[in-house]
Amino acid sequence: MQLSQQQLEEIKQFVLRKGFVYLDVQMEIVDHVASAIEERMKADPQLDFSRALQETHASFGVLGFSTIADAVTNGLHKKYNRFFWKNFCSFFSYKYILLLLLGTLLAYQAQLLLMDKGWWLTVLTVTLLLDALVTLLTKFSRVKLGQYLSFRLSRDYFVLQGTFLFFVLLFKSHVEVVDPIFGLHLASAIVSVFLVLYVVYLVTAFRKMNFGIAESMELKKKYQYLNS
Amino acid sequence: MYGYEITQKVKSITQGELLLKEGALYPALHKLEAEGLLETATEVVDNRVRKYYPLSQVGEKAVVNKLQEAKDFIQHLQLLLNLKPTS
Repeated sequence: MQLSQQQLEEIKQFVLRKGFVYLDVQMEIVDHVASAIEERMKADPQLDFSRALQETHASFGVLGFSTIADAVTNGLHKKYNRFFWKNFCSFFSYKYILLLLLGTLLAYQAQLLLMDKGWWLTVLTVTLLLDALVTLLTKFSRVKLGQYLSFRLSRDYFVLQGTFLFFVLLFKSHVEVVDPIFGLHLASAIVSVFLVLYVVYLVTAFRKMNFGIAESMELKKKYQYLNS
Repeated sequence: MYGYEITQKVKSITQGELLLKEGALYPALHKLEAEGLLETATEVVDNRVRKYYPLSQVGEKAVVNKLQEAKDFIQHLQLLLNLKPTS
């Protein structure tokens, strides 16, 4: 017993009416429900499709399809968090550590050079430009992949973008006022470390978003093939 | 195997004694996927997209330990069930 295209569309609309709009969530619910309906109709050939659909939905219990939807959402959260932290930590391996130290040193020297020339304004401008770039890129992708939960969740680390700006403004007065200790401007050194961490964070967030885009694009191709 | 197929397989192996519900199956599958123990793939089957949950290479190695843990647990449970009350 195989369901027709029209019956599958009815299941999809039913799932949609229950409020599950993301295609990657719908995919698992629709396939599970369709398989269960096929089994029911095979066991009882007299059973009509609408009744089989209602019975299958009822078999999910009071929580309905949200048992699958929650599992998909939580699973994606865990997967992307794991991906993010694994990639973030990889920057502190022997492969990148020299590059990070060099970046911190450069950021520190740049601050000393700009100390009397509005250094924090430069840091602020660079950070805002980075934020604007990130916003533009994520908005561009959202137009094409907004229906995919994997894409939406893969972008969630960008919400912490403003945190770095907060630290820059917090240390602003210290950098300008505090005298160096043994020749080291402590506040500038801390800002340099934060700056490098912020760049690592942004690069990792981009990698995570690209991972989400790749997964969503793969699924999108399947849907395009299905609808062609 | 895909989600519904797993529920049916469990039902058939246990001759209907054990029913694996969606509320237990999908959180477990997605947790294992997030931990990298499953390497999922989607395919177009019967005019719909279906997600399969095969073991990853890491999962294949981990399953040996997990099975041993389960067997040990059952063995210990058996010992507890066989305890006779002392007077």
